[in-house]
Amino acid sequence: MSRPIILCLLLCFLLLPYQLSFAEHNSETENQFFDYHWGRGLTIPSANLNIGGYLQASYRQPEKRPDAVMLNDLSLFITWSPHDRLRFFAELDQQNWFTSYGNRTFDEALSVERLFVDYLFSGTTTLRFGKFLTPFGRWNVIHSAPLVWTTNRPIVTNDFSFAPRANGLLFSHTHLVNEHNLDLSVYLDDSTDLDPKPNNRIVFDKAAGARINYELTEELQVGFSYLAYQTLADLDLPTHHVVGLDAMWQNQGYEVLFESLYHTRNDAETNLDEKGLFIQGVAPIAGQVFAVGRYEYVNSKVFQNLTNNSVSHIGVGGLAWRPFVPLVVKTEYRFGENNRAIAPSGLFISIAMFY
Amino acid sequence: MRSTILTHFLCLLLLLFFSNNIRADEIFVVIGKTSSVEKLTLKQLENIYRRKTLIGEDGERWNPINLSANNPLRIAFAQKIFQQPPEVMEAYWNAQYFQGIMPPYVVNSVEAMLRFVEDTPGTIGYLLPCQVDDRVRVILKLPVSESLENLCKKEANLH
Repeated sequence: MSRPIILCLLLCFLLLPYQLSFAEHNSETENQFFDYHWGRGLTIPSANLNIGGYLQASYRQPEKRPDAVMLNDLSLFITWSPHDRLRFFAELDQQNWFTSYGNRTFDEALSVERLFVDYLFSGTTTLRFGKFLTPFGRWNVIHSAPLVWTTNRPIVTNDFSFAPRANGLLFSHTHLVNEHNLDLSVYLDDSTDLDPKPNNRIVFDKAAGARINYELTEELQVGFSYLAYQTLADLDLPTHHVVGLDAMWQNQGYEVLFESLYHTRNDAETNLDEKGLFIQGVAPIAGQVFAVGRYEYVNSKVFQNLTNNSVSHIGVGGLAWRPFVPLVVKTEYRFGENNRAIAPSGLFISIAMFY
Repeated sequence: MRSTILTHFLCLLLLLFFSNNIRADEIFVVIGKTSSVEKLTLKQLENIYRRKTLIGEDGERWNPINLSANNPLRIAFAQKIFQQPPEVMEAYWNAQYFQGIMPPYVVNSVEAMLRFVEDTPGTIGYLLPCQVDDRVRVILKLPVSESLENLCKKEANLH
Protein backbone atom coordinates (compact mmCIF):
# COMPACT_ATOMS: atom_id res chain seq x y z
CA MET A 1 0.00 0.00 0.00
CA SER A 2 1.46 3.36 -0.98
CA ARG A 3 2.32 5.92 1.63
CA PRO A 4 -0.30 8.53 0.48
CA ILE A 5 -3.10 5.97 0.87
CA ILE A 6 -1.91 5.10 4.36
CA LEU A 7 -1.69 8.77 5.28
CA CYS A 8 -5.23 9.34 3.94
CA LEU A 9 -6.50 6.44 6.05
CA LEU A 10 -4.78 7.88 9.11
CA LEU A 11 -6.29 11.27 8.41
CA CYS A 12 -9.73 9.67 8.18
CA PHE A 13 -9.17 8.11 11.61
CA LEU A 14 -8.13 11.47 13.01
CA LEU A 15 -11.22 13.14 11.59
CA LEU A 16 -13.55 10.54 13.03
CA PRO A 17 -14.73 12.49 16.10
CA TYR A 18 -18.18 12.92 14.63
CA GLN A 19 -19.65 10.98 17.50
CA LEU A 20 -18.63 12.64 20.71
CA SER A 21 -20.62 10.29 22.88
CA PHE A 22 -17.70 7.94 22.28
CA ALA A 23 -17.41 6.76 25.83
CA GLU A 24 -20.90 5.44 26.25
CA HIS A 25 -22.08 2.13 24.94
CA ASN A 26 -25.76 2.56 24.54
CA SER A 27 -27.97 -0.42 25.17
CA GLU A 28 -30.56 0.97 22.78
CA THR A 29 -28.13 -0.20 20.12
CA GLU A 30 -28.21 -3.74 21.49
CA ASN A 31 -30.48 -4.78 18.67
CA GLN A 32 -28.02 -3.54 16.07
CA PHE A 33 -25.55 -5.97 14.57
CA PHE A 34 -22.63 -3.75 15.41
CA ASP A 35 -21.94 -0.56 17.28
CA TYR A 36 -18.95 1.77 16.82
CA HIS A 37 -17.85 4.39 19.33
CA TRP A 38 -14.74 6.48 18.86
CA GLY A 39 -12.19 5.37 21.41
CA ARG A 40 -14.13 2.24 22.35
CA GLY A 41 -13.91 0.31 19.10
CA LEU A 42 -16.39 -1.71 17.13
CA THR A 43 -18.62 -3.96 19.21
CA ILE A 44 -20.70 -6.86 17.96
CA PRO A 45 -22.93 -7.39 21.02
CA SER A 46 -24.44 -10.67 19.87
CA ALA A 47 -20.96 -12.22 19.66
CA ASN A 48 -19.46 -10.48 22.71
CA LEU A 49 -16.75 -9.28 20.33
CA ASN A 50 -14.91 -5.95 20.31
CA ILE A 51 -12.36 -4.77 17.78
CA GLY A 52 -10.39 -1.59 18.44
CA GLY A 53 -6.90 -0.28 18.87
CA TYR A 54 -4.75 2.81 18.88
CA LEU A 55 -2.20 4.67 16.85
CA GLN A 56 0.65 7.02 17.54
CA ALA A 57 2.59 9.28 15.15
CA SER A 58 5.49 11.44 16.25
CA TYR A 59 8.02 14.06 15.24
CA ARG A 60 11.41 13.70 16.94
CA GLN A 61 14.19 16.25 16.97
CA PRO A 62 16.97 14.77 19.13
CA GLU A 63 20.11 16.87 19.48
CA LYS A 64 23.02 15.88 17.22
CA ARG A 65 20.88 13.28 15.48
CA PRO A 66 18.67 13.50 12.39
CA ASP A 67 15.06 14.59 12.82
CA ALA A 68 12.44 11.91 12.24
CA VAL A 69 8.74 11.65 11.53
CA MET A 70 7.25 8.25 12.15
CA LEU A 71 4.15 6.18 12.58
CA ASN A 72 5.22 4.53 15.81
CA ASP A 73 2.24 2.30 16.41
CA LEU A 74 -0.81 1.12 14.54
CA SER A 75 -2.29 -1.34 16.96
CA LEU A 76 -5.30 -3.64 16.74
CA PHE A 77 -7.13 -5.13 19.75
CA ILE A 78 -9.52 -8.06 19.49
CA THR A 79 -11.51 -9.05 22.58
CA TRP A 80 -13.91 -11.97 22.51
CA SER A 81 -15.89 -13.52 25.38
CA PRO A 82 -17.53 -16.68 24.04
CA HIS A 83 -18.51 -17.79 27.56
CA ASP A 84 -19.09 -16.07 30.91
CA ARG A 85 -15.81 -17.53 32.23
CA LEU A 86 -13.68 -17.23 29.08
CA ARG A 87 -12.12 -14.17 27.51
CA PHE A 88 -9.71 -14.04 24.56
CA PHE A 89 -7.59 -11.00 23.88
CA ALA A 90 -5.12 -10.22 21.08
CA GLU A 91 -3.09 -7.13 20.29
CA LEU A 92 -1.25 -6.90 16.99
CA ASP A 93 0.96 -3.89 16.41
CA GLN A 94 2.65 -2.40 13.36
CA GLN A 95 5.71 -0.78 14.95
CA ASN A 96 7.58 2.00 13.15
CA TRP A 97 5.98 0.92 9.87
CA PHE A 98 6.58 4.26 8.16
CA THR A 99 9.41 6.56 9.11
CA SER A 100 11.12 9.46 7.39
CA TYR A 101 14.33 7.41 7.24
CA GLY A 102 12.76 4.38 5.60
CA ASN A 103 9.80 2.06 5.70
CA ARG A 104 9.49 -1.49 6.91
CA THR A 105 7.46 -4.15 5.16
CA PHE A 106 4.17 -5.23 6.74
CA ASP A 107 5.74 -8.45 8.01
CA GLU A 108 8.83 -6.72 9.37
CA ALA A 109 6.76 -4.20 11.29
CA LEU A 110 4.16 -6.65 12.59
CA SER A 111 4.49 -7.83 16.16
CA VAL A 112 2.19 -9.83 18.38
CA GLU A 113 2.14 -7.67 21.50
CA ARG A 114 -0.32 -9.75 23.48
CA LEU A 115 -2.24 -12.94 22.84
CA PHE A 116 -3.94 -14.66 25.74
CA VAL A 117 -6.98 -16.39 27.09
CA ASP A 118 -8.39 -15.68 30.55
CA TYR A 119 -10.31 -18.25 32.54
CA LEU A 120 -12.35 -16.60 35.28
CA PHE A 121 -12.48 -18.96 38.27
CA SER A 122 -14.56 -16.39 40.12
CA GLY A 123 -15.16 -12.66 40.19
CA THR A 124 -11.84 -12.21 41.97
CA THR A 125 -9.60 -14.98 40.59
CA THR A 126 -8.37 -15.35 37.01
CA LEU A 127 -5.91 -17.64 35.27
CA ARG A 128 -4.32 -16.28 32.09
CA PHE A 129 -2.40 -18.30 29.51
CA GLY A 130 -0.50 -16.80 26.60
CA LYS A 131 1.60 -13.75 25.88
CA PHE A 132 0.98 -10.81 28.21
CA LEU A 133 2.65 -7.64 29.47
CA THR A 134 5.02 -8.49 32.30
CA PRO A 135 3.26 -7.29 35.48
CA PHE A 136 6.27 -5.41 36.85
CA GLY A 137 5.69 -1.83 37.97
CA ARG A 138 2.94 0.37 36.58
CA TRP A 139 4.12 1.86 33.30
CA ASN A 140 4.78 -1.44 31.56
CA VAL A 141 1.19 -2.65 31.79
CA ILE A 142 -0.39 0.63 30.65
CA HIS A 143 2.32 1.76 28.24
CA SER A 144 0.11 2.57 25.23
CA ALA A 145 0.60 6.06 23.83
CA PRO A 146 -2.96 7.39 24.45
CA LEU A 147 -2.72 6.44 28.14
CA VAL A 148 0.66 7.87 29.07
CA TRP A 149 1.60 11.52 29.42
CA THR A 150 4.87 11.64 27.49
CA THR A 151 6.04 10.59 24.01
CA ASN A 152 9.11 8.86 25.47
CA ARG A 153 9.00 6.08 28.02
CA PRO A 154 11.18 6.27 31.11
CA ILE A 155 14.32 4.23 30.44
CA VAL A 156 13.76 2.01 33.48
CA THR A 157 10.46 0.78 32.02
CA ASN A 158 11.75 0.17 28.51
CA ASP A 159 13.47 -3.20 28.15
CA PHE A 160 15.95 -2.04 30.81
CA SER A 161 16.12 -4.83 33.38
CA PHE A 162 13.39 -7.23 32.27
CA ALA A 163 11.48 -8.29 29.17
CA PRO A 164 8.31 -6.20 28.82
CA ARG A 165 6.33 -9.25 27.67
CA ALA A 166 6.13 -12.70 29.19
CA ASN A 167 4.76 -15.97 27.83
CA GLY A 168 3.16 -18.50 30.10
CA LEU A 169 0.71 -18.57 32.99
CA LEU A 170 -0.48 -15.62 35.06
CA PHE A 171 -2.62 -16.13 38.16
CA SER A 172 -4.41 -13.02 39.46
CA HIS A 173 -6.44 -12.64 42.61
CA THR A 174 -8.09 -9.63 44.23
CA HIS A 175 -8.71 -9.70 47.95
CA LEU A 176 -10.61 -7.07 49.91
CA VAL A 177 -8.65 -5.80 52.91
CA ASN A 178 -10.46 -3.16 54.97
CA GLU A 179 -12.71 -2.54 51.93
CA HIS A 180 -9.67 -1.78 49.74
CA ASN A 181 -8.46 -3.94 46.86
CA LEU A 182 -5.30 -5.97 47.35
CA ASP A 183 -4.28 -7.34 43.93
CA LEU A 184 -1.91 -10.27 43.74
CA SER A 185 -0.34 -11.60 40.52
CA VAL A 186 1.95 -14.61 40.21
CA TYR A 187 3.36 -15.69 36.86
CA LEU A 188 5.55 -18.33 35.24
CA ASP A 189 7.24 -17.78 31.89
CA ASP A 190 8.57 -20.14 29.26
CA SER A 191 9.21 -17.76 26.39
CA THR A 192 11.68 -19.99 24.60
CA ASP A 193 9.02 -22.62 23.96
CA LEU A 194 6.00 -20.34 23.61
CA ASP A 195 7.08 -17.28 21.60
CA PRO A 196 8.35 -17.96 18.08
CA LYS A 197 8.92 -14.26 17.30
CA PRO A 198 10.06 -12.39 20.42
CA ASN A 199 10.11 -8.62 20.05
CA ASN A 200 12.07 -7.57 23.14
CA ARG A 201 15.70 -6.59 23.64
CA ILE A 202 15.76 -8.85 26.66
CA VAL A 203 14.08 -12.20 26.00
CA PHE A 204 13.25 -14.47 28.89
CA ASP A 205 14.19 -18.10 28.63
CA LYS A 206 12.41 -18.97 31.87
CA ALA A 207 11.05 -16.54 34.43
CA ALA A 208 8.93 -16.41 37.55
CA GLY A 209 7.55 -13.33 39.23
CA ALA A 210 4.96 -11.84 41.53
CA ARG A 211 3.35 -8.48 42.08
CA ILE A 212 1.25 -7.02 44.88
CA ASN A 213 -0.73 -3.81 44.54
CA TYR A 214 -2.72 -2.28 47.38
CA GLU A 215 -5.14 0.65 47.36
CA LEU A 216 -4.17 2.52 50.51
CA THR A 217 -6.89 5.08 49.82
CA GLU A 218 -9.10 5.92 46.85
CA GLU A 219 -6.31 8.22 45.60
CA LEU A 220 -3.15 6.31 46.54
CA GLN A 221 -1.92 2.89 45.41
CA VAL A 222 1.38 1.21 46.21
CA GLY A 223 2.94 -1.79 44.52
CA PHE A 224 5.80 -4.22 44.96
CA SER A 225 7.17 -6.43 42.16
CA TYR A 226 9.67 -9.26 42.12
CA LEU A 227 11.02 -11.17 39.15
CA ALA A 228 13.64 -13.90 38.69
CA TYR A 229 14.69 -14.90 35.20
CA GLN A 230 17.24 -16.32 32.83
CA THR A 231 17.72 -15.21 29.25
CA LEU A 232 18.72 -17.23 26.21
CA ALA A 233 21.85 -15.09 25.94
CA ASP A 234 23.23 -16.11 29.33
CA LEU A 235 21.84 -19.54 30.14
CA ASP A 236 25.04 -20.61 31.87
CA LEU A 237 25.07 -17.64 34.20
CA PRO A 238 23.21 -17.37 37.50
CA THR A 239 19.64 -16.15 37.70
CA HIS A 240 18.72 -12.47 37.42
CA HIS A 241 16.70 -10.94 40.26
CA VAL A 242 14.74 -7.71 39.92
CA VAL A 243 12.74 -6.00 42.65
CA GLY A 244 10.62 -2.91 42.21
CA LEU A 245 8.63 -0.51 44.32
CA ASP A 246 6.04 1.84 42.86
CA ALA A 247 3.25 4.19 43.87
CA MET A 248 0.61 6.29 42.17
CA TRP A 249 -1.46 9.14 43.57
CA GLN A 250 -4.32 10.70 41.59
CA ASN A 251 -6.70 13.42 42.65
CA GLN A 252 -8.80 15.86 40.63
CA GLY A 253 -6.56 15.80 37.55
CA TYR A 254 -3.31 15.86 39.52
CA GLU A 255 -1.13 12.78 39.40
CA VAL A 256 2.18 11.62 40.85
CA LEU A 257 3.74 8.40 39.61
CA PHE A 258 6.84 6.83 41.12
CA GLU A 259 8.67 3.68 40.10
CA SER A 260 11.99 2.23 41.16
CA LEU A 261 13.81 -1.01 40.52
CA TYR A 262 16.96 -2.85 41.50
CA HIS A 263 18.44 -5.57 39.30
CA THR A 264 21.18 -7.95 40.32
CA ARG A 265 22.56 -11.40 39.61
CA ASN A 266 23.94 -13.56 42.37
CA ASP A 267 27.49 -13.98 41.11
CA ALA A 268 30.58 -11.97 41.89
CA GLU A 269 32.08 -12.15 38.39
CA THR A 270 29.58 -10.15 36.40
CA ASN A 271 28.94 -7.78 39.29
CA LEU A 272 25.65 -6.70 37.74
CA ASP A 273 24.19 -4.04 39.95
CA GLU A 274 21.62 -1.98 38.09
CA LYS A 275 19.19 0.49 39.57
CA GLY A 276 16.86 3.18 38.41
CA LEU A 277 13.89 5.25 39.40
CA PHE A 278 11.63 7.96 38.08
CA ILE A 279 9.07 10.30 39.52
CA GLN A 280 6.54 12.03 37.30
CA GLY A 281 4.04 14.74 38.13
CA VAL A 282 1.01 15.91 36.15
CA ALA A 283 -1.04 19.03 36.84
CA PRO A 284 -4.01 20.50 34.97
CA ILE A 285 -3.28 24.01 33.65
CA ALA A 286 -6.34 25.09 31.70
CA GLY A 287 -9.18 23.15 30.15
CA GLN A 288 -7.79 19.86 28.99
CA VAL A 289 -4.15 20.99 28.93
CA PHE A 290 -1.82 19.39 31.45
CA ALA A 291 1.75 20.15 32.47
CA VAL A 292 4.01 17.13 32.83
CA GLY A 293 7.40 16.89 34.51
CA ARG A 294 9.60 13.89 35.13
CA TYR A 295 12.96 13.17 36.70
CA GLU A 296 14.72 9.88 36.11
CA TYR A 297 17.87 8.37 37.61
CA VAL A 298 19.58 5.44 35.92
CA ASN A 299 22.64 3.60 37.19
CA SER A 300 23.64 0.73 34.91
CA LYS A 301 26.96 -0.84 34.02
CA VAL A 302 25.32 -2.05 30.79
CA PHE A 303 25.08 1.58 29.68
CA GLN A 304 28.58 2.42 30.89
CA ASN A 305 30.07 1.39 27.54
CA LEU A 306 27.77 3.83 25.80
CA THR A 307 27.92 6.72 28.21
CA ASN A 308 31.38 6.45 29.85
CA ASN A 309 29.63 6.74 33.16
CA SER A 310 27.16 4.37 34.71
CA VAL A 311 24.99 7.15 36.14
CA SER A 312 22.56 9.20 34.01
CA HIS A 313 20.08 11.87 35.03
CA ILE A 314 17.20 12.54 32.66
CA GLY A 315 14.58 15.25 32.88
CA VAL A 316 11.41 15.74 30.82
CA GLY A 317 9.17 18.80 30.78
CA GLY A 318 6.16 19.10 28.55
CA LEU A 319 2.51 19.65 27.87
CA ALA A 320 -0.27 17.23 27.02
CA TRP A 321 -3.59 18.32 25.51
CA ARG A 322 -6.56 15.98 25.67
CA PRO A 323 -9.30 17.68 23.62
CA PHE A 324 -11.33 14.46 23.56
CA VAL A 325 -11.18 11.42 25.82
CA PRO A 326 -9.48 9.07 23.29
CA LEU A 327 -7.10 11.68 21.81
CA VAL A 328 -3.93 13.24 23.19
CA VAL A 329 -1.38 15.62 21.67
CA LYS A 330 1.94 15.77 23.51
CA THR A 331 4.98 17.97 23.27
CA GLU A 332 8.00 17.63 25.49
CA TYR A 333 11.61 18.60 25.85
CA ARG A 334 14.03 16.02 27.21
CA PHE A 335 17.34 16.99 28.75
CA GLY A 336 19.84 15.52 31.15
CA GLU A 337 23.33 14.66 32.18
CA ASN A 338 25.22 11.80 30.61
CA ASN A 339 22.10 10.90 28.70
CA ARG A 340 23.04 11.32 25.05
CA ALA A 341 23.46 7.64 24.18
CA ILE A 342 20.44 6.26 26.02
CA ALA A 343 17.91 9.13 26.01
CA PRO A 344 19.16 12.03 23.90
CA SER A 345 18.06 15.56 24.72
CA GLY A 346 15.68 17.16 22.27
CA LEU A 347 12.15 18.05 21.28
CA PHE A 348 9.49 15.38 20.86
CA ILE A 349 5.94 15.88 19.60
CA SER A 350 3.32 13.19 19.13
CA ILE A 351 -0.35 12.55 18.56
CA ALA A 352 -2.00 9.39 19.82
CA MET A 353 -5.53 8.11 19.97
CA PHE A 354 -7.67 5.10 20.59
CA TYR A 355 -10.01 4.34 17.71
CA MET B 1 -63.47 -1.44 69.83
CA ARG B 2 -60.46 -0.04 71.71
CA SER B 3 -58.17 -2.70 70.19
CA THR B 4 -59.40 -1.85 66.66
CA ILE B 5 -58.61 1.82 67.18
CA LEU B 6 -55.20 0.88 68.60
CA THR B 7 -54.52 -1.38 65.62
CA HIS B 8 -55.47 1.40 63.18
CA PHE B 9 -53.31 3.86 65.10
CA LEU B 10 -50.32 1.48 65.00
CA CYS B 11 -50.85 0.87 61.27
CA LEU B 12 -50.92 4.63 60.72
CA LEU B 13 -47.69 5.02 62.71
CA LEU B 14 -46.02 2.24 60.71
CA LEU B 15 -47.19 3.79 57.46
CA LEU B 16 -45.82 7.17 58.50
CA PHE B 17 -42.55 5.54 59.59
CA PHE B 18 -42.06 3.69 56.29
CA SER B 19 -43.19 6.57 54.13
CA ASN B 20 -40.56 8.70 55.86
CA ASN B 21 -37.98 6.01 55.14
CA ILE B 22 -38.78 5.93 51.42
CA ARG B 23 -36.63 8.97 50.87
CA ALA B 24 -35.27 10.26 47.58
CA ASP B 25 -31.85 10.83 49.14
CA GLU B 26 -31.20 7.12 48.88
CA ILE B 27 -30.28 5.21 45.76
CA PHE B 28 -31.52 1.64 45.50
CA VAL B 29 -29.26 -0.84 43.73
CA VAL B 30 -31.43 -3.38 41.93
CA ILE B 31 -31.04 -6.80 40.33
CA GLY B 32 -33.39 -9.23 38.60
CA LYS B 33 -35.87 -11.16 40.71
CA THR B 34 -34.40 -14.51 39.63
CA SER B 35 -30.85 -13.59 40.65
CA SER B 36 -29.33 -15.76 43.39
CA VAL B 37 -27.23 -12.89 44.77
CA GLU B 38 -28.25 -12.16 48.37
CA LYS B 39 -26.14 -9.14 49.30
CA LEU B 40 -23.36 -6.85 48.13
CA THR B 41 -21.03 -4.48 49.91
CA LEU B 42 -20.28 -1.00 48.58
CA LYS B 43 -16.77 -2.09 47.53
CA GLN B 44 -18.11 -5.17 45.72
CA LEU B 45 -20.55 -2.89 43.90
CA GLU B 46 -17.71 -0.52 42.98
CA ASN B 47 -15.66 -3.44 41.61
CA ILE B 48 -18.64 -4.59 39.52
CA TYR B 49 -19.14 -1.08 38.12
CA ARG B 50 -15.40 -0.72 37.48
CA ARG B 51 -15.64 -4.07 35.61
CA LYS B 52 -12.93 -5.37 37.92
CA THR B 53 -15.29 -8.14 39.00
CA LEU B 54 -16.66 -9.66 35.79
CA ILE B 55 -18.62 -12.64 37.11
CA GLY B 56 -20.64 -13.39 40.24
CA GLU B 57 -20.22 -16.20 42.73
CA ASP B 58 -22.54 -18.38 40.65
CA GLY B 59 -20.30 -17.87 37.58
CA GLU B 60 -22.84 -15.69 35.81
CA ARG B 61 -21.51 -12.62 33.98
CA TRP B 62 -22.21 -9.33 35.77
CA ASN B 63 -23.83 -6.84 33.43
CA PRO B 64 -23.79 -3.42 35.13
CA ILE B 65 -25.80 -0.71 33.40
CA ASN B 66 -25.73 3.05 33.70
CA LEU B 67 -28.01 5.94 32.97
CA SER B 68 -26.61 8.60 30.62
CA ALA B 69 -23.62 10.58 31.90
CA ASN B 70 -25.56 13.82 32.48
CA ASN B 71 -28.40 12.18 34.42
CA PRO B 72 -28.38 13.53 38.02
CA LEU B 73 -29.02 10.04 39.39
CA ARG B 74 -26.00 8.66 37.47
CA ILE B 75 -23.87 11.55 38.76
CA ALA B 76 -24.96 10.93 42.37
CA PHE B 77 -24.37 7.18 41.96
CA ALA B 78 -20.88 7.69 40.47
CA GLN B 79 -20.03 10.14 43.21
CA LYS B 80 -21.15 7.63 45.83
CA ILE B 81 -19.27 4.59 44.56
CA PHE B 82 -16.25 6.14 42.80
CA GLN B 83 -16.07 9.48 44.67
CA GLN B 84 -15.78 11.01 41.18
CA PRO B 85 -18.21 12.31 38.55
CA PRO B 86 -18.73 10.14 35.42
CA GLU B 87 -16.57 12.30 33.13
CA VAL B 88 -13.51 11.89 35.37
CA MET B 89 -13.90 8.11 35.09
CA GLU B 90 -13.23 8.26 31.34
CA ALA B 91 -9.45 8.13 31.91
CA TYR B 92 -10.05 4.92 33.85
CA TRP B 93 -12.11 3.49 30.97
CA ASN B 94 -9.33 4.36 28.52
CA ALA B 95 -6.96 2.25 30.62
CA GLN B 96 -9.50 -0.59 30.78
CA TYR B 97 -10.05 -0.44 27.01
CA PHE B 98 -6.32 -1.15 26.62
CA GLN B 99 -6.95 -4.31 28.68
CA GLY B 100 -9.95 -5.26 26.54
CA ILE B 101 -12.53 -4.29 29.18
CA MET B 102 -15.47 -2.13 28.11
CA PRO B 103 -17.46 0.28 30.33
CA PRO B 104 -21.00 -0.57 31.44
CA TYR B 105 -23.79 -0.21 28.90
CA VAL B 106 -25.91 2.89 29.05
CA VAL B 107 -29.69 3.03 28.98
CA ASN B 108 -31.58 6.21 28.23
CA SER B 109 -34.40 5.98 30.76
CA VAL B 110 -35.48 4.57 34.07
CA GLU B 111 -38.02 2.36 32.28
CA ALA B 112 -35.24 0.95 30.06
CA MET B 113 -33.21 0.24 33.19
CA LEU B 114 -36.14 -1.58 34.80
CA ARG B 115 -36.72 -3.66 31.66
CA PHE B 116 -33.04 -4.43 31.19
CA VAL B 117 -32.65 -5.57 34.81
CA GLU B 118 -35.81 -7.67 34.61
CA ASP B 119 -35.03 -9.33 31.28
CA THR B 120 -31.25 -9.83 31.22
CA PRO B 121 -29.69 -12.22 33.75
CA GLY B 122 -26.74 -10.78 35.66
CA THR B 123 -27.83 -7.19 35.08
CA ILE B 124 -27.47 -4.72 37.92
CA GLY B 125 -28.74 -1.16 37.95
CA TYR B 126 -29.79 1.65 40.27
CA LEU B 127 -32.97 3.62 40.82
CA LEU B 128 -34.59 6.04 43.20
CA PRO B 129 -36.98 4.55 45.75
CA CYS B 130 -39.94 6.10 43.93
CA GLN B 131 -38.89 4.40 40.69
CA VAL B 132 -38.58 0.84 42.00
CA ASP B 133 -41.40 -1.57 41.21
CA ASP B 134 -42.01 -5.32 41.56
CA ARG B 135 -40.04 -6.22 38.42
CA VAL B 136 -36.75 -5.87 40.31
CA ARG B 137 -35.24 -6.67 43.70
CA VAL B 138 -33.40 -4.14 45.87
CA ILE B 139 -30.04 -5.52 46.96
CA LEU B 140 -28.36 -2.45 48.45
CA LYS B 141 -29.48 0.97 49.64
CA LEU B 142 -26.99 3.78 49.23
CA PRO B 143 -27.55 6.94 51.25
CA VAL B 144 -26.44 9.98 49.27
CA SER B 145 -25.79 13.46 50.54
CA GLU B 146 -27.55 15.36 47.76
CA SER B 147 -31.31 15.55 47.50
CA LEU B 148 -32.78 13.78 44.49
CA GLU B 149 -36.42 14.39 45.44
CA ASN B 150 -36.92 16.64 42.42
CA LEU B 151 -36.28 13.68 40.13
CA CYS B 152 -39.18 11.82 41.74
CA LYS B 153 -41.39 14.89 41.47
CA LYS B 154 -40.50 15.32 37.79
CA GLU B 155 -41.29 11.68 37.21
CA ALA B 156 -44.61 12.02 39.01
CA ASN B 157 -45.49 15.07 36.90
CA LEU B 158 -44.67 13.19 33.72
CA HIS B 159 -47.11 10.46 34.70
